[in-house]
Amino acid sequence: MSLVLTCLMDQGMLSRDSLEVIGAGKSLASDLGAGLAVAVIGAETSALCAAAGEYGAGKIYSVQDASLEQYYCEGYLAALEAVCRECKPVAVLFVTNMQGRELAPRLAKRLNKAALVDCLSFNVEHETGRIIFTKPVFGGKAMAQVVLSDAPAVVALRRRSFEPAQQDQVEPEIIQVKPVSIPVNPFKVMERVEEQQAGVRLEDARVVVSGGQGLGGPENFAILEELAGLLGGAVGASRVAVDSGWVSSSKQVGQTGKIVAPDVYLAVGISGACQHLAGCSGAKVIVAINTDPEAPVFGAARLGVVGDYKDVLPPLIKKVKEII
Amino acid sequence: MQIMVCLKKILDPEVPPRDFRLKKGEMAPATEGIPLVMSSFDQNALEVGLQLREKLAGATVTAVTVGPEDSEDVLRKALAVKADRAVRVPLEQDSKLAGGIVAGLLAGAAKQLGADLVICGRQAGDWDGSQVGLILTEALGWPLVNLVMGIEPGSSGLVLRRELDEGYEVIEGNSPLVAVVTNHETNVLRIAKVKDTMAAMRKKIELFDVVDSAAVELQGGRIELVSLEIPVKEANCEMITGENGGEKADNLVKRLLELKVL
Ligand SMILES: Cc1cc2nc3c(=O)[nH]c(=O)nc-3n(C[C@H](O)[C@H](O)[C@H](O)COP(=O)(O)OP(=O)(O)OC[C@H]3O[C@@H](n4cnc5c(N)ncnc54)[C@H](O)[C@@H]3O)c2cc1C
Ligand SMILES: Nc1ncnc2c1ncn2[C@@H]1O[C@H](COP(=O)(O)O)[C@@H](O)[C@H]1O
Repeated sequence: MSLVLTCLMDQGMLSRDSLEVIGAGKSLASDLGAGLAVAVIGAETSALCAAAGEYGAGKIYSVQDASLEQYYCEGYLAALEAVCRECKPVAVLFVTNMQGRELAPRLAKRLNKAALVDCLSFNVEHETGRIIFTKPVFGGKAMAQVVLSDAPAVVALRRRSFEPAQQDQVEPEIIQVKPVSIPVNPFKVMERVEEQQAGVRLEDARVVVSGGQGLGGPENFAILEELAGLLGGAVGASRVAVDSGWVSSSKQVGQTGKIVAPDVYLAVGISGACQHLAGCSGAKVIVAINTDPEAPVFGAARLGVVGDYKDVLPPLIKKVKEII
Repeated sequence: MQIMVCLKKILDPEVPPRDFRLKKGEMAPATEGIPLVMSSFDQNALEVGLQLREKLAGATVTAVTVGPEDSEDVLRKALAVKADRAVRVPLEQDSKLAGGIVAGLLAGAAKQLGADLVICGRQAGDWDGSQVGLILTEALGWPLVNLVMGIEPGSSGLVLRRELDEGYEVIEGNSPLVAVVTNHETNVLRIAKVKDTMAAMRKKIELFDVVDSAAVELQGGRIELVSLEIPVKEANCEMITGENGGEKADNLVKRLLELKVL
């Protein structure tokens, strides 16, 4: 039976990213009449193997090695290459996160195949059995449909574009894979700074208040912080706000930033470039506050306020305080 | 140190959707009336290279592009901010999503230059491929640092600051390596002086003929574009009105409550 291989990058527990890639893998496998396999890598993978089994992975390829305790590209790449040579999948799926972004193209090259990054959806063509992948190009102004001509297709899926897998207990077959050799990490970590976000994580927040170039300076983000804080939400930003040094880059929302899907996404002083909207189009309600009635952001928003944020946000904060 | 920075000339990614069209009968965008620019992450990559050179005695920055003759504009722009050399590797067709071919040609150029550090952008702002730097890493057999914000010389080797999902890390390693750059407040490309822009017009652009095996070797696994379409988005924005900011704010909260999202 042919297999769709999904690659998990977790330590210990299944992340939301992993549930999404397993969910996508299951649906692709069922469209192709194939089985679902997962690859798990680490120093000690048994917990993760068990967790993957609860979500319906029939075959689990595990690479265990003390050197793989923490993710590093060269090591995980060698592990995945060994898994692919053993499993011979028809497709290899990643998530377009920090790891998937760098692993998918490099793995494909090692297998002498092509990769696709930031895929939004796929469908299997009935007559030919080809998998047609859809990927946004030109910042999302166009959609490309592509076929990767030789199996396996190595694809990284856009975060938050696929439903997370549902539980579906199977008795998985666990295959231990031993790579020929695992290269040592060529880099030494001198310092790692985890930015502690006060309050909720941007990606999990039910309300996101984002600011852009229109805010005019870093000090004006304080008012967004206040509003987000009142609503139990998080602050995001456009790339211009990040490049100007007003907020840290981990707050960037968009195609090359965080993908968020809150109930309310408030875009303040953001023009609504496609590359930005790619990060918030999953929001239930997008609210735009912008002085320019022609700003493209109104084309994507559900509710729009034409006006200066300086006139709208202070009374908005006051009103929110009244109702909470 | 020989620093090679990879630059692509692209259709201005900031054109609003209403001005973005496709060429009739072709799976490519229409270019009439739309400016062509240096891809934005490549501007960041160039700035990272220039800043490193300033801190490393004897280092040179070579700007390299793969493309037709008119793509030399990006090289002139790089020369205007004082890149030392500029190289074009001819390729007539836009490679679209076929990153392997470009990566192969860039790998050939890196070898020909004797580069010890290759810097790319994280993704070209046209086809958003996000692969060339990574395939190039494999083609050269060098280690990779992805999502780099800045590079400095270290006590032994290079010190790279890279973005993580939450935060950043500082790592040290030795050249040769490939660095793939992301945007950060510290790597916004400097502005060229007018006199340097003029001088750049007269500088030489070297042509590299890289038909070496690297490119051919890299063609395994084809990406076939089967369609390219502009998505139809229906706008259904409801405008919140009011005499002043206060009224607008009240009406906005009212609607958010009605929509049951607050
Ligand atoms: C490959 C690529 C990837 C990219 N990835 C991302 C990404 O991940 N995320 C991202 O955000 N961008 C990304 N970009 C950049 C994107 O194309 C835009 O440049 C950026 O989103 C614009 O930011 P902005 O809306 O803050 O600025 P602008 O476009 O300058 O908009 C500012 C807006 O503020 C309004 N304004 C001004 N004053 C006020 C006021 N007082 N009150 C209210 N409104 C006001 C103006 O009318 C204007 O609409 C990417 C670009 C490329 C090429
Ligand atoms: N034609 C090209 N010439 C030079 N560099 C390129 C070219 N295409 C891509 N690159 C480099 O590779 C990076 C990633 O491109 P891509 O994989 O096409 O998104 C870009 O940011 C450039 O640094």
